Amino acid sequence: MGDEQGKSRQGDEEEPRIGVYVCHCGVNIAGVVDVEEVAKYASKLGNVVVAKDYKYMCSDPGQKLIQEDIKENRLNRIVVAACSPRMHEHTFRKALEEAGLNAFLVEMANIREHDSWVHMNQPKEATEKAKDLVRMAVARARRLEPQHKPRVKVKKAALVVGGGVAGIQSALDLADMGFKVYLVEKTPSLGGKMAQLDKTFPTMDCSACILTPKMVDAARHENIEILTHAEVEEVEGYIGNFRVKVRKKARQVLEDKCTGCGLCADACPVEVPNEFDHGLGVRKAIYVPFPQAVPLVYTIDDEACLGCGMCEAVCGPEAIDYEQKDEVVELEVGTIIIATGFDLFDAKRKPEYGYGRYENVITGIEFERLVNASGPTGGKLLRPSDGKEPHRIGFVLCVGSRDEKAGNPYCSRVCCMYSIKNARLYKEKHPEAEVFIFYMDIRAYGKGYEEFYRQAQEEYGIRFIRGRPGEIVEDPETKNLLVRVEDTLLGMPLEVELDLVVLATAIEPATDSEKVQRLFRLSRSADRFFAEAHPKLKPVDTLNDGIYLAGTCQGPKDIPDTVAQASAAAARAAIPMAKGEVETEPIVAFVRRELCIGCRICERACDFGVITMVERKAQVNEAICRGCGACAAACPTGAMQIRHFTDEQIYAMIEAAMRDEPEVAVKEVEG
Amino acid sequence: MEKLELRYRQVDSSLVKKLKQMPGGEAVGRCYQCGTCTASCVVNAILDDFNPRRVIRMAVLGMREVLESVEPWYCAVCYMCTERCPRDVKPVSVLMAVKNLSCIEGRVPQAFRNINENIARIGRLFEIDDFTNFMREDMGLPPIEPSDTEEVAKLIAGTEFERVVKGEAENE
Repeated sequence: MGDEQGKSRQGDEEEPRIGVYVCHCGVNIAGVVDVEEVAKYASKLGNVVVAKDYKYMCSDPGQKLIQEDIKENRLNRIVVAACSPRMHEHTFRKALEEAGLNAFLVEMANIREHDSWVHMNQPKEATEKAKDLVRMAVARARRLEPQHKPRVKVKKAALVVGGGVAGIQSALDLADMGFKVYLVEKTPSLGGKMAQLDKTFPTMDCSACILTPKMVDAARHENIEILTHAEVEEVEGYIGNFRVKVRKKARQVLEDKCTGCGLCADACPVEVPNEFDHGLGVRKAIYVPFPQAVPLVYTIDDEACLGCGMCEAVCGPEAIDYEQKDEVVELEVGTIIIATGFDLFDAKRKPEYGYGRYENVITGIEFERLVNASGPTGGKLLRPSDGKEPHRIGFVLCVGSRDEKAGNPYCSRVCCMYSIKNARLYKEKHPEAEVFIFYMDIRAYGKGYEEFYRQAQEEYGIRFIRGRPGEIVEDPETKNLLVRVEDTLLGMPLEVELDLVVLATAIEPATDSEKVQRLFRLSRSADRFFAEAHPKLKPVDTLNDGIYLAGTCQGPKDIPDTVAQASAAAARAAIPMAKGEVETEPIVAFVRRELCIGCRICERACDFGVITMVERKAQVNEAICRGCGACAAACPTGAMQIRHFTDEQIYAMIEAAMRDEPEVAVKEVEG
Repeated sequence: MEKLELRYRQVDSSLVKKLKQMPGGEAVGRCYQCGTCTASCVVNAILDDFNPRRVIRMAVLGMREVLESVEPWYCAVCYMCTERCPRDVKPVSVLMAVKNLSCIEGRVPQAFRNINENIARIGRLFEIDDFTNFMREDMGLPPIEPSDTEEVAKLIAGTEFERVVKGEAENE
């Protein structure tokens, strides 16, 4: 009833002929549950034609067993009592299809996760529970209806959100495969956090030197359209057909006219702290974030600009346009890659370390900018308090990482290595300097990392002290810093006087990740980073089909891992686009119009805006329905139903759960 | 080395379980020995003998000496370690749980038993002698009269304090 879709290839109108297959799962189930008894019990249930137990139902011979029975005994419904449907429902659906039966005529009874695993010390009770679960599954199987997966066309274009190294890599890979890519970046230039780094561990490559060629490649690529100074505002649709609205914020500089000559910035009288240098240097109100910016187009900082007109007066190509308005661009894409990156922990949240109060306590990223040749000091690391070269430097690891108090129980994965890298950089230039690293554990897990760490100890003489500083105190006269720490290996408290302390601040989810989560209907894991669909087997997919994750928005990562994941996300996103069409879930809501009273309760219950009212009756947009069932549960008349989970099917299971005796066979199958 | 081996042979794996069940000791197993507590400790700053990280380490390993040691009793309960502990182990509370456990098991160090005895005997932590009252008079303060030990005795009888003083284990 209610299902006006196609018929199964056989057995649809016939009386249900059910086969029940009880899996041993090695000893996982059979070690607790008496599987033979369960199969024997099942054979007595109404409509059950065959009931068998087998060592591994999911194995090839196990599937063959079902397929042969389907043919020999003209079975038209299958119940597999085994593991969770999340594990193997897919396997058995395929097996049914191969045997010529509609894939949705199989029902799983989970007697492993729901039974043998949780009642491993109560074999008798577990066997009884297995019987109950099988009886319920049989009751539902009688009422199963064939379902058909709708196919939708996939647009051969992708949206990549975030123009850091992850987004750039994903965009380049997809573009090289021949797909159109829209690369959206919030700030005025591509580059992300990697553009701010000086050298990269463990190879000591100059970060900008290896990143900027990729930025230029992305800009030149005929398949990539870059939208910088732009943010995604609205996302509608589903895999294959996303409609995205992107707001290109007004630069007040015309992109096609600006040559990036910089005369405007020379003329601009306004100076503000440069966020690219973490406020250590200054920039003008009309600016590019850094010299190698892509695109090399100047941007007027609305909040800082006085409107004096100096830039307009000197601009040769007349690129300045104070009247420029935001522009909203509408894009249609088949897949989306999220690469929105991270933000750094605010070191002020650890007041015991004095960041923000003591001038000579800086963060790792500030160190990067200070030793960078294009940084505010031209690459010379000088103490902020007196401009002198520091002789004794300490690096404090895990500032805000592995820290329950800061709400970040996870390891940020890069701080050990970048702090060792920075320590080595300084020792290279100043061999006489004394450099300390205060650590709890050194995590040098990557290729070449352990060697890099060993060299730091052996060849560079960097002193590693195993202890997390309790506090840092400033000498008000010298502005030197006293670090109180216990050398936990000696069991001895130390007070170390230093000229400069560098805090390795944690990687945290980007501050706007909540907004991104809402826009793209993502979920987040306990660490607040975006959650992948499966931690091992679907590490770049999300639970929202057609949307993939790349880089640190999914969790802390170093550059090699970020780039690898970005390529992986591109490869995953390419699959539906290369196929050209995808099958979507048939398990969606539908309306029994004769029962609908137009109360609109379902409309409010729906989180996805799928239900509209047409002629005072609810109507479901099946293409974007997620099949969550909120509407069906809320509906007071039973008009709202979920395919494959109709009220009749669920009530049948509940009744079977309450009734001990085998049911009388149901003669008529609704369908 | 011999000493260490001996200690490991004597470990009591139930110690950490017991501590986890006591109020304050719940998070003891979470400690990753970073030393923030010791580096923040006002007592450790002047007294090497007191190292809260070491007390927690001994407790986690199951070294029963920790129950007889004076070390936990040096804690000034300033809460600086608890404020800064990145794993939220609450070292002050763990040390309190260790002290409570040594009371329950009748293993309170003699020095602290003596102090407790003072409370039972004179109702105070330490004796008020003539010199104290002389000093007070000098400062214009009234003298301190002997406490009503009867009240204190009632309180002690109504609680388990006596056992703590005598150093008897709960189930003995």
